Amino acid sequence: MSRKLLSILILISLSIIYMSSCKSGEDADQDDLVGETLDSVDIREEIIISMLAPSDMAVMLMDNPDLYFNKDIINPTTNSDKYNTNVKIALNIGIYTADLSYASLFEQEQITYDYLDVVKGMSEEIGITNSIEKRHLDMIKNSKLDKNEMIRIINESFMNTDAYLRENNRQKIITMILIGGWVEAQYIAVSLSKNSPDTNKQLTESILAQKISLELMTLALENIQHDNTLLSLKKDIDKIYEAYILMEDNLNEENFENFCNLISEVRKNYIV
Amino acid sequence: MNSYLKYIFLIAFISTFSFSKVNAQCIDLVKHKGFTYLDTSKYIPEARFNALPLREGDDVDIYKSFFKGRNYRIVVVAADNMPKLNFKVTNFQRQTLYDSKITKMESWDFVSDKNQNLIISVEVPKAKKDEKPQSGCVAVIVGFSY
Repeated sequence: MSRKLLSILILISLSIIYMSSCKSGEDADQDDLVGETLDSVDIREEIIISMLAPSDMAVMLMDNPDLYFNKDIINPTTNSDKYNTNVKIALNIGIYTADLSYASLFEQEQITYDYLDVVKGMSEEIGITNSIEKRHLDMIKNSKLDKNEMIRIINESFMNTDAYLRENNRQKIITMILIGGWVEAQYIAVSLSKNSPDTNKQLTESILAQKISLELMTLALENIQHDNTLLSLKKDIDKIYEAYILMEDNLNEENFENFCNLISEVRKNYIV
Repeated sequence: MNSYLKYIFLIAFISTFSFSKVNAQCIDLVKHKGFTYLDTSKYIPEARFNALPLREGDDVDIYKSFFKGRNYRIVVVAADNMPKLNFKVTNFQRQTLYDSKITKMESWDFVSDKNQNLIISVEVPKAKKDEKPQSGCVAVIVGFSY
């Protein structure tokens, strides 16, 4: 075989490797998202909009001495079987991550473990492998960890997921995870507030403070005109933002309750 | 032909391995150098992965929310082959709150006096004239304490 033919074969094999490495993320993003690709021009290479992770959201909202853990609020793990599209899986990875972070803040080891295990399974379903390490699951199951140690583990696991998705050009999936997590953390917070701004003043302040994280989310979703899935999620975010403006203008029972109802309604659509 | 096929598979294996290795470099930078500077015994690292490969002369802005009353540490690190980085923290009106060119430090500890979105601007100094620009991972790690 000539040297020229050998060079051609090498070139072809390298091209195949390059193309397969680039495509893996896109393929995994498809199923119900056919025709809804996120163009590379939509991603700002020189700017990273670092929206809050679901675990950090939970800490900022629920790290409050007067709060408590209520298992009835969170999305049951039994629901995980019905999420069979990438959109639902991604949104609910965010939702379950917020739930397990809430559980960890109240040192609920078993629930944290169970939910982390579900997130691990769902992540693998959409091609995210090795994000949650077995040693971390074992540590939560077998060691008596305090909330700080659990949050460290959860944050490191989320960072693995984030890094994997970023490096495989799957920003759309991470955006959906972050939106799901944001909504769930707010849902837990408004549930604990019992729809009143006076139930727990510190909690109300924390809920209001999240307007700035929503502003970053809005900024991150600015250039998604071609993506119907993200556009539909952006509509939810825009509605929530409007409710924030009303509360900022006048923090009364009615505006607060409307905000709480809106969060519940959006969350309900994500978990069904 | 058989030996050529083996050759091609060998190239495929090496290339795939190299691709994974490049991907692993940024997360390793965050978890090793980044977490050391952060001092994880004092600060809990936030969960977002803010790292990317840059070349000398490049810059990146990271937009991030900070909450009232929280203690934060911001750490900026780069791969060992890269020069010392400069970073600035500004508000959205571009008023500077911190500039590492003045302090010469890789990290900044502060308590946020309000709920605010800030911009962390990282600049990789330009390569010297006639020198090939180096490239490597750059990472921003944010931690908080109770």
